[in-house]
Amino acid sequence: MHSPDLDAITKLKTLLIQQNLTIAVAESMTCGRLQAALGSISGSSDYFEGGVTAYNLRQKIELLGIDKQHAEHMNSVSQLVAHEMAAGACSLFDSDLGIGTTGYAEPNPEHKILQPVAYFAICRQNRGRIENILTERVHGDGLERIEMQEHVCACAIKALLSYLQGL
Amino acid sequence: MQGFQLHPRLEQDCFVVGNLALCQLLLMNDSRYPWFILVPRRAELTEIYQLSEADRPLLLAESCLLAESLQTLYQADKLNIAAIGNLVPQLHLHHVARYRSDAAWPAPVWGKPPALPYAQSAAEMQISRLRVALGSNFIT
Repeated sequence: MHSPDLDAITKLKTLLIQQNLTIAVAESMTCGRLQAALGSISGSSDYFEGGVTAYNLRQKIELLGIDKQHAEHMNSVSQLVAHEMAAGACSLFDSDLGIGTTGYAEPNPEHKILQPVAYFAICRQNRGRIENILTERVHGDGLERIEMQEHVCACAIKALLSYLQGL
Repeated sequence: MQGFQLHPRLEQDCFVVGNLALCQLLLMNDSRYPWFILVPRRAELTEIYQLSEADRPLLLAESCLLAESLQTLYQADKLNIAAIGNLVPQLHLHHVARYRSDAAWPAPVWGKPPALPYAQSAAEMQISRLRVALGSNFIT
């Protein structure tokens, strides 16, 4: 398994602390990698509230409050599901920021998925209201399962850094 | 915009996002697809050619603006843009972000009931994201 990008995680730490923001994570296809990355440097408990890996639909509904009908129809993979997971993480951990990841780490011909594809979303909670900051689609043509999980994790961290740098 | 009134079927099936210079922008209440509709705010039009010469380029500009925003937001495999109007005669232009993995692919989305309504918060999220993407071009 590859190590997380410690340079990016360190920059993230600096920005989150400077801006007095906390973060939580809800993962499906990245299966804990994002949480592991955020927790890979010391002092992360100052801003990293925690996270959940909600791998199946039941857990996504029960833990994160995602819309059952939509998720069932989309096999839990859509921009909306990623957004609802990010929003669910914000609520569950009462954090300022939330990240959600969902997708196909490998081809899934049953669902017409010929190459890995995933979505991640970043939400922000402000005075009890949770707003979508961004939602992105990530392609992983030719990537193996673990490579795709790590790629999505790296993309989410990069997007979060860009957002924080723009504040 | 004198005399313009949204067709009751569109009113029933969609959320109103707001108004551009020419068109009212709607979100179809079907979470299976990111599906938006432009309705020129002109009374009693059923076809694009019936728009005035001044309005025709406006419709194209607003369609391109919406399409570009949708592509940025949804990174679709294809945008389906069409004026059909077989059931709702009022002139309206569908803009649907399509994915190879979506429920209807590769067929068109029309005539694939039942719709899957949005949870309220999800609809609000879609609308607010698009408003931000459209920026100053979004007038009300």
